[in-house]
Amino acid sequence: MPFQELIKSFDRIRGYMRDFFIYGCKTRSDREEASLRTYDNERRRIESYLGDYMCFRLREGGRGKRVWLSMESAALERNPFYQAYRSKSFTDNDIILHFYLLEALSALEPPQEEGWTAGQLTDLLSQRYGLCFDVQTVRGKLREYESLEKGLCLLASEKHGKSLCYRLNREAEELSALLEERRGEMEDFLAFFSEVLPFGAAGSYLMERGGYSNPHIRFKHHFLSHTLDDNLLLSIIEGIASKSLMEVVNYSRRQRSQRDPRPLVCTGVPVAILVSVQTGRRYLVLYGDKRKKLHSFRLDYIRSAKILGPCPPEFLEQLRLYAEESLNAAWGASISWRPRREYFSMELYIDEKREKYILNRLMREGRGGEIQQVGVNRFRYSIETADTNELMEWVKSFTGRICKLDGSNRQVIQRFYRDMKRMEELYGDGEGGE
Amino acid sequence: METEKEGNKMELFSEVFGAYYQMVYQLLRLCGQEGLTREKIVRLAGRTGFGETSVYLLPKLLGEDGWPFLEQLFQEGQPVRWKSRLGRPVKRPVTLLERQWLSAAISDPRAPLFLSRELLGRLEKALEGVAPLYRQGDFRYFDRYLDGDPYDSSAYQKIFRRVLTALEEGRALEIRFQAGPHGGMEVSRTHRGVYIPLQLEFSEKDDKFRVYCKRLNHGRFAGYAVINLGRILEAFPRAEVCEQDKKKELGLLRQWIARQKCAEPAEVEISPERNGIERFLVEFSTFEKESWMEPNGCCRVKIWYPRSDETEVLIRILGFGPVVRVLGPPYFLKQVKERVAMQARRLERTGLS
Repeated sequence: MPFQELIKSFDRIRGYMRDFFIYGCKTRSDREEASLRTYDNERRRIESYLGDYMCFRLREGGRGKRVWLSMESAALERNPFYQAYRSKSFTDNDIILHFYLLEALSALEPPQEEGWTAGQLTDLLSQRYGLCFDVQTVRGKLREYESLEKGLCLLASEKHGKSLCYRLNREAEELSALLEERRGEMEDFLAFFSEVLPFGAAGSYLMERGGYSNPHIRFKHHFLSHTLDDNLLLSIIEGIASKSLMEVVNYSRRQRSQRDPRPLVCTGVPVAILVSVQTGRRYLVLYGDKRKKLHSFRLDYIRSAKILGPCPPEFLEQLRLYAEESLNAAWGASISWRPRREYFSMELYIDEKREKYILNRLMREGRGGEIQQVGVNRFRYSIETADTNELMEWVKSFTGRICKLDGSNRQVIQRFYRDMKRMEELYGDGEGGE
Repeated sequence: METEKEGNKMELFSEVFGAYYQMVYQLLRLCGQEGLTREKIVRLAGRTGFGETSVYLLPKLLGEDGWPFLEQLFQEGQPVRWKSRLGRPVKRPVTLLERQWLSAAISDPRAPLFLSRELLGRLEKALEGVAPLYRQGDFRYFDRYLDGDPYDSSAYQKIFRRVLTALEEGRALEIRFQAGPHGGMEVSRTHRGVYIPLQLEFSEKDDKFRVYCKRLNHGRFAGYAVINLGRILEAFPRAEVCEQDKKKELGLLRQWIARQKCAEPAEVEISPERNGIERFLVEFSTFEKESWMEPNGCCRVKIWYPRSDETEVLIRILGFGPVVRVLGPPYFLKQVKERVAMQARRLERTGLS
């Protein structure tokens, strides 16, 4: 099949885009599950969508040509990955009917006050524009544009006698007029929220529709690739809102690294989405119906999520009992089987006169842990949490100041001391002083 | 009923939002009844679509068996331009997905920073009965810094809106603000000066806004400044306006920002243990970077960062412990070595090494 710029399913490029962006070093041989032609086509597609924004560098390496994707979020006006969402394929009938039906419904007086029937519109297309469609095709498009499915709802319909009459959705038109009237204020609002909120692609569509740009705002610490998971996230959010039972198909890091083609299938009730603004990871928290425990799944590892149906009420009761407590006890996304707690503390050297900013850092980043002065220039940070291991990246960011660690998870603490020993070996010739 | 969400299969990925549809909207508007030349249409297709769009789209728009949107206008028997076959330009109605997203956006605590109470009220009314796409509580941002900007403070909102207005109008403000930490120490000094705001910056991690400004001294350019919105105590509009074209100003600012970048990138080697490569690359994906795999299974990464963020980059790298080894540049490596050596001595003293 010849190369096509547009695609039918977003999943097709989701993984490729993420890998090119995150790893920046995927070669054809790294994508073993795909044929070489598939790899080349996806690469060409990504180049086609993101060529304006991104820098592809070709380098001869040990394992063939490599492609680099690199962009600095703080330098961009808008998320380049939104381009990928604008690549859905369609048929000739789809696009012709889209424009002619919208024109007819917005520009012409309907034969009756209530709107047009599918038959009247079919005749109009033929008489006025010489376009021949059968009435079923026109009706199909009208239904698609009227239904809630897919979230379009561009049209509204009303039954008059035996006829179903269609018109443009009035509520949408009122909103549209308001957006137009106040476009000056809406521009910055949309520019900001289309980048910082979940499902920002929807905001970017509003911007595109209104012809808005973003000259005023830039975004630091902005994880651009999150948007690639947002289409899948729509079903999950739906499941959270309706407290439905869902089936989640997950393909974890372990499975990837072992090249195990079998994904994990888990069913349960989605509880919340956990977002880390520091590490760039997002997780689905799901209460599993088989093992009756909370699981967290990386959103970018989830392949699919679908709603199975309503959740049994007794199940919801169990969920309510400890989900909140477990979530509150977690430092990050590691949620314990039961709301168990581990005690952890660290003592830091902080010059209390000159290094107040370190104390501020502890307060700002310590997620509610307690801070006590335990000596001259010595401060203790302590917290009870579900999994001490999750704190360790943060703890190690204080390297140079840590006097002592203590806690109930001895294994993790011993590993910290081993890590510090390894750091000494790595950087052994260091010169430092207080 | 739009509030009824059960059974919905919302899609962000729909042709209705697609680049090709968008281009047809534009073409129909620009061609109108007057028409556009073929060259202009080709240029537009090349400018607004994807890299290869014109190859696929032009035969559809201008070919004999294509879509019936355009027709040729003739002058003395020769085709000169292409006009729209539709009576007037079409505008896509706002979809339900967009309305639901907007409904969620206006309930965000930061919405009043951008919209007046009156406009927020009108939007709420226009979106009455539209269920928000998600609830704020569905998302838990568990590691956002706790000292973020006070979005619900009316004083903060007032200052924010003054800065935003000045930014839009290219007008100067007299700003009094609390000085930031100096040499690592918090100071109680305040500064006052005349500034022209050029660009806002938001950090999701810090949960803070900053504004990049041109500082004026007796009406003359006296350098750029970056001020945290949360530190601004007062902001009054002034008569001075930005003399240069806005685009030019932003171009100059961008050049200045580029000059604030590190002279040499930090270079690290990441070992595959503890999923280090993936963790590191995701976490540092907000930076400009270059990465490649070494034959030994380690990953080498170069990161370009603003000089003002050097300490942040350093401590985040240290957070990975021995999984990430800093290779250079020398002045960056020296700081790592100093911290590791200091750490070793602290543990030695407490007998824990």
